Amino acid sequence: MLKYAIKRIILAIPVIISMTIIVFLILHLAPGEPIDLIVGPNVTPEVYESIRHKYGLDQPLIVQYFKFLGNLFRLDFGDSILQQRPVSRLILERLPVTLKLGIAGFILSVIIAIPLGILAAVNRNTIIDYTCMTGAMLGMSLPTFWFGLLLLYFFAYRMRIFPISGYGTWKHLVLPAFALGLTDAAVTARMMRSSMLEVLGQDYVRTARSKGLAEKVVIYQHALKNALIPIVTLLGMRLGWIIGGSVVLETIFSIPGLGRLMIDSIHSRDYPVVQGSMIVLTSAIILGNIIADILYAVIDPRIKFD
Amino acid sequence: MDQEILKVNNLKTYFFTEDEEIPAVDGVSFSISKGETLGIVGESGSGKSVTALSIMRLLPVPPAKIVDGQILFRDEDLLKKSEDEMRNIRGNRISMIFQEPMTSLNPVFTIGRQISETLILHQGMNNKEAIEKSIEMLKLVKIPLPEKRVREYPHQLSGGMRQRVMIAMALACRPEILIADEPTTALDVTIQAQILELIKELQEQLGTAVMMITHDLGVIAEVSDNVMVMYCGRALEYSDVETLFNNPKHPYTIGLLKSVPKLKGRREKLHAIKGIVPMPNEITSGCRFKTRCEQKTLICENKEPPFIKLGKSLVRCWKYQ
Repeated sequence: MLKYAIKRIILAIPVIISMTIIVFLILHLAPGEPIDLIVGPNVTPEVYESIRHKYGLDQPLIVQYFKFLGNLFRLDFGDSILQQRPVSRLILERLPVTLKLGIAGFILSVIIAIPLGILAAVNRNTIIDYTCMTGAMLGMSLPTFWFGLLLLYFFAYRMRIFPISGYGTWKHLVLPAFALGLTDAAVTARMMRSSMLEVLGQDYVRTARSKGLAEKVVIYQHALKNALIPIVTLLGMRLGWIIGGSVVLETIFSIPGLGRLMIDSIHSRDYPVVQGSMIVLTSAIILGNIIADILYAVIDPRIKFD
Repeated sequence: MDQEILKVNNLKTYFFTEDEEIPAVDGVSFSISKGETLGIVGESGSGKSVTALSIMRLLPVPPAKIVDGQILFRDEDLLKKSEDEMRNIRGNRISMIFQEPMTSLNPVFTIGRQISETLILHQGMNNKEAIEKSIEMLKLVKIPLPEKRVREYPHQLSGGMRQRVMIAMALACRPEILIADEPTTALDVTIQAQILELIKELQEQLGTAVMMITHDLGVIAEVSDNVMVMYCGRALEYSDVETLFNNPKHPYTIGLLKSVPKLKGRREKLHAIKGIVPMPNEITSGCRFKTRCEQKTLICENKEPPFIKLGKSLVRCWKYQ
């Protein structure tokens, strides 16, 4: 088990390295010099060059990359050009906010999606199934930001149950978490339904029934454990995405999270901050996948540990 | 031998789709006594498995529906039982094993868990007792190292071993009837013989009645006391095994027996019954076998023959009128 987990983590290393290359290159190949923002237009070429030198921007790309990589190992993402503070500090301040929102949305999505998917599959082609799946279809087609705005309009503006924007109390978290969780639940519920339907048609489900087991036991023990195998993979991937997906919602709900930090930094070409936050968000996705793979092996005995 | 355990009277199981009804089993009657093996033989689509699943009441409703008949198990009609009462019978007093040992066991539970489940459910054992009994059952079906196997998962076992596990599971509660739906079809020939031998042996030890469903006449000859030949939802011939093999009467049975390759004598071209099994709803009048029968007469076209008693056999053919 431990061996399998370690193997999965080692396999993630090339992925992480490729990710750092991409993050590094995307920003350096984008047009526009970040220091223009700091120095302004009226500066002598000498001063301009010295500032470039200070940030290492005058060195060859490959040297810049290895410096960047070396600093990453020490969790040093450099200093923010605009705020003149270490990026790691900025990220650490914002990360808990994003994690709270992401995890709340994720938990909400799981507790909505899995029962709905099972319910739809067990009552296949009945009104219950159609209702669940129409709901899921809506959830999938509505953009998260639009759904977020709708929630804001009804629950914050009209009914005044929850605050319109900001961050601080649990009440601030409810609407964005629902916006995030419900749209995500749509995808998971559909997957859960089809996975469950497939499993319910398997021979071993018939065997379970032929033993005289109650339908509850057949569905929630024999079928569910098998149906969850593909769902766990999906959820691992979604866990990463949902944390990245809060970028838009943080903007709509004015939540000071990592997504907002990233968007603001992109606007101001604050390279080190964008790089740092992108690396944290992509790492979340990679981590989600590793967790999924390990959980996968825990549920499915056919996956070999060595 | 004469104590009748199961008596099926005029069983009719139909499937209803949007625009048609398919009489998959259409008025089948038979009985099984204690310790007896009844073989049910027929081609694919003849209604063998549907008959078995009707007895277990395991067919999905809809599309399937048992529209008529009685299934008397110890003189009680299973068709009148509630779902709860049926659950108490399934896996306990009537068990079933299936064709596909590779997929019939749940891949995410250990062998021990799957066998002990029935024991805990029907015999009220606790976990420890059930696992001990499971090991005993694995020993009974001759699985080597049962203490180790009980903790393993199905994918760690071969097909033959898995079928043995299925048998152990089915017999754990000492059922009165074991329904075996093509238990050897998916297995190698050598394993087939072992499994049949095992079923026979356990049947003698436990006194279980067996309903053996197969399309393989060799299997029938090996294990059955009585045989019912099914075709297109109907029984065409019903007799004891010796009579059936030595003196087959229905043209279909004769055709089936001719299509079995022989080891002795000159090699001849293998006989084949022409045509394919029609869908049960294709033939609305006359004999079910009329489209493929070489001895068809005018009456066969229009009127279906009743069961005609000939010595120990029942035959549904106008030839014997």
